[in-house]
Amino acid sequence: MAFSLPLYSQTEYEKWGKADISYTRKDPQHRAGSENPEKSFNLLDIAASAYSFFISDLDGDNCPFSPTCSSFFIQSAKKAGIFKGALMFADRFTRDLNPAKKDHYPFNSDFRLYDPVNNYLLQPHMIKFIPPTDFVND
Amino acid sequence: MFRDTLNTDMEAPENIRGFADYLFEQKDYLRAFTEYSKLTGFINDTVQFRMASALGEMGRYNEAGNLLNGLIGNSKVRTLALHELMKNRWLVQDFRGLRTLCDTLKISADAADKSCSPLYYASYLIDSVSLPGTGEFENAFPPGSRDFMKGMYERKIKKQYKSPLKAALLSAIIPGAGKIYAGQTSDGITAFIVSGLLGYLALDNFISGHDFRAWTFTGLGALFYAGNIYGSAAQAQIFNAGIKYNFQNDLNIFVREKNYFKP
Repeated sequence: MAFSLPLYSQTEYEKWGKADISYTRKDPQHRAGSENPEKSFNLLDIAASAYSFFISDLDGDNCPFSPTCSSFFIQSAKKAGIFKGALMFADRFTRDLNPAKKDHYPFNSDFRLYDPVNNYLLQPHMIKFIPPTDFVND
Repeated sequence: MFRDTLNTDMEAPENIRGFADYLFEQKDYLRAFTEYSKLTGFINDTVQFRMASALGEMGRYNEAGNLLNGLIGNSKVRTLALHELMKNRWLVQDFRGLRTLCDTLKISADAADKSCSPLYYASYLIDSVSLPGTGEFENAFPPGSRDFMKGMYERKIKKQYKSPLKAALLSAIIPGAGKIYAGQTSDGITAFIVSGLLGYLALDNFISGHDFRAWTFTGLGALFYAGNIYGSAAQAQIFNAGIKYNFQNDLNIFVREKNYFKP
């Protein structure tokens, strides 16, 4: 019976074995247009993919907001139309330029500033107010 | 804690009841409810009330309400059940149901039922129905709560909301002014600088004769100017949502501290 124990217990060799590491980013939200990962011939998705490929992948994951500004534009254009989406994006970009913005927004689990699209659709019933500097599980 | 029961039947109803009561007093509500549920055939009003209380503490308000509804008729825990049911209706935000329950029971001459008044009147502050008169409202609360509730009543009446239209108009006249009006001073200053800078660049390039650049900056300037107007209106709405949130939060904290005005 004593000899059968090692057959079932975890050996030191197994415990300290080489781990398979993957550097694939698991957070899809930094990629504009990742809301629709399947192939799409929608102009907006094509522009978003082009932006991700030519600019975002080279520039890196710099946006302090969640969703990122490019994702914000895609989501707002899909929810409210291209014109209103452009206005929402312009407002978001202006707010991003504000160096004193950290105290205006709650934080998500990635410590980014949580700023969802639904709060800016000019529909009061869609606004979900979260006090600034609170933490959000998104 | 529990006497040595080597020679006692653990499944006897009195032992199960004793253990369940102990768990309830230790605030282990899930296990207490599980033990109480084993008392099939021995569930009296007090046990049923404790089961309902345990469910309420676990956030299972609908199930708690079903148990409590059976106790507000003729039972020895009627008053306790009534107040627990009102607390449940407050927590699920069924304020009309809370007031209907109180109105139904006010028909009786039982003085204890009249003590449902504080939560009844407090619910008016959250619902969008019209408020009762100031005197009637204040007198519903015990002396220790009167000042605070009077302050909440005045906050409800004064409604320091911001107008999205006014914010948009202010930003149309002076970029960023609407955002400052809506409580975001630094955002307003940033919007002013961005709109101003793009406008200046457009003008400067027109004067210099660089038409392509001038029209590019004009387009960008127009976009950010319009975005600033839109954002000011949106920010005013968010400000109003914040006013409402903070008001309800302050009221909920106070009501919870007063244990939902239970006698």
